[in-house]
Amino acid sequence: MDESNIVDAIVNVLRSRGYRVATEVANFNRSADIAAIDPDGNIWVIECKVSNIKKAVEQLRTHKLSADRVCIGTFYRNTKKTTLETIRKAGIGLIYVMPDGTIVKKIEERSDNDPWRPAKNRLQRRVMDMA
Amino acid sequence: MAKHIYHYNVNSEQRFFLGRRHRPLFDIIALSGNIVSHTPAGVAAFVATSGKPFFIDPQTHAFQHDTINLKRDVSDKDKDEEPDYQFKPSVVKLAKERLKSPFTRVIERDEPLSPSDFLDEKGDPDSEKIGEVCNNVVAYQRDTLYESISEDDKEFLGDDKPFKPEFIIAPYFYLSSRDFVRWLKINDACYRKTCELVKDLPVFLAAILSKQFLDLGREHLVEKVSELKPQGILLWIDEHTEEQLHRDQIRSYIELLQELRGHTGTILNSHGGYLSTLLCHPDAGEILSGVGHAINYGEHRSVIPVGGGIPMAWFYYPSIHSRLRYGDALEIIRAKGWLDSREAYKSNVCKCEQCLELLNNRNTVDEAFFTYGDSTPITFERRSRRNVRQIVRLDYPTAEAKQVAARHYLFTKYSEFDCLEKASLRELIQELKQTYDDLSKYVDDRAFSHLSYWHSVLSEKFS
Repeated sequence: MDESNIVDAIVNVLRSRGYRVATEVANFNRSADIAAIDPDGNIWVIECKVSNIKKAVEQLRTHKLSADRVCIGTFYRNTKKTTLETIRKAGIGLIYVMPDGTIVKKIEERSDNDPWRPAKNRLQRRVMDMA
Repeated sequence: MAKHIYHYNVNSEQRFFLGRRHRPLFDIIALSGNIVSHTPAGVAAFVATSGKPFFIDPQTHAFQHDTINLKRDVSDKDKDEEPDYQFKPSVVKLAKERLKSPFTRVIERDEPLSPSDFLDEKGDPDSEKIGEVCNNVVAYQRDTLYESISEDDKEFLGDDKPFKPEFIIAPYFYLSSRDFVRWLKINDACYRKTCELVKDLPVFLAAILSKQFLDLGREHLVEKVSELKPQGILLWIDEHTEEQLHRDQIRSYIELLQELRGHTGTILNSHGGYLSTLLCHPDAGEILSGVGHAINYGEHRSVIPVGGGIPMAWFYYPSIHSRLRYGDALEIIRAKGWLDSREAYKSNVCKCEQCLELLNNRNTVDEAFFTYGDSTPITFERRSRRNVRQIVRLDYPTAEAKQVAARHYLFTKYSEFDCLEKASLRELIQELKQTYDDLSKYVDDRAFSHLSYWHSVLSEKFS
């Protein structure tokens, strides 16, 4: 499974749940693999990785400035406890894409993130334009 | 008083050197040999308008590296043509019209210079070859701009100010861990010969060093400098990113300067940041006499050019004394609540002229700070490691974001130099620790861990 498979699987599920979804969205000198607006108006950023989860944690620190909720998407596999703890401490969610294309939330993302209003508005506009 | 040097690299940056608000912020213009040879009349008019002292880097070292670094790809990518690397016109002009032999041979043969181009069969400097090189390199620096300036512009030069560089740089070559003994010998011969040729201006020795050379060849350089006693040294350490130096590397840098300073009156660091600025302080023995940078970049620079990459939004964070990615700066400022009010921002982040202008002209502090990171998305295609084509979208700073970030940077840099006269070194070193302690309680220190390193080594060396 490569990164694009992970992106496709998560995008499909989000769309089926009524999210407005865009991929490869420019945000703070980075490109968010998936940016989405849920039916309640929350902005989500999901970084999809086959490896290098630490890099995703780093990228999502920046995306947290503009998103209400941030997650890492990866394929299902055993993950070290220390890595899980790093993700949890950072307030990031972890989504596994299962071999059948369904998704499972391994770690719940923090829901009390406080994005910066101007950056959130900008990201929201970009998702609306692209979705 | 420390000399504040601005590097002039592209004509579009002229506006940051000129005008009532920008002109007083710096002392000397450093001109690259490339730009002077490529557009001499335009550069001459610009320098004359600025009324600032200047010097020209003849960039003789550029011909010593693999020639690919002197070339550009001229293929038509729209037609999917194979890459076709040709020498840049500015390099060809610099070699053929200004520096001449043996630099022209690099273009003709497509081979870099080697020490044998300057040495005789015994391995000693060939006085004829060295003499020819020095003559051409001196004439280039001394005459090119004056000869290129229009008669109209000459009228504005004034009678008391000769339109000459502040100093002449002797031909020089890069000293890396490889073959530095022969190149150092050539630099030595070029410096001596240039001093014979130039009597009306100071002659500077350019010391362009790799970081590895600092470990292996430092003693050789110091010994050579102790013999030469140069009128000045222009220092450039390859990719010397001051924020990334470990304690030992900072110590080694300071010790090198102390050793060199014993044998020369002036050392200018061509590319340096705040650590170097602090080393210009009288309490540090003024082991540096000046520091250079470009317009919102260039506090460190690779000797062998590397691609510029995609521009991104940066914010020079005053108390961290470093250019941070806009998002990283925002993370810190928000964590501290310094966007909550204009007063909080002014007291804790910045009150430079540019920041004040934005705070006054925008409805909210958020809006004002947003201007520094404003961007438009760009889309491009790149190939992954597995040669798969990927569409990537990144933020590209708006023209206004680039402009305000540059002005904020220049005003802040000016303040850093200004502080050398207003505060003791001890106070400035203490501020580094205060900032580190204050911010590290709230955010991860990856963007400012250098403050702790700088503080500990500077305290150890100068307390």
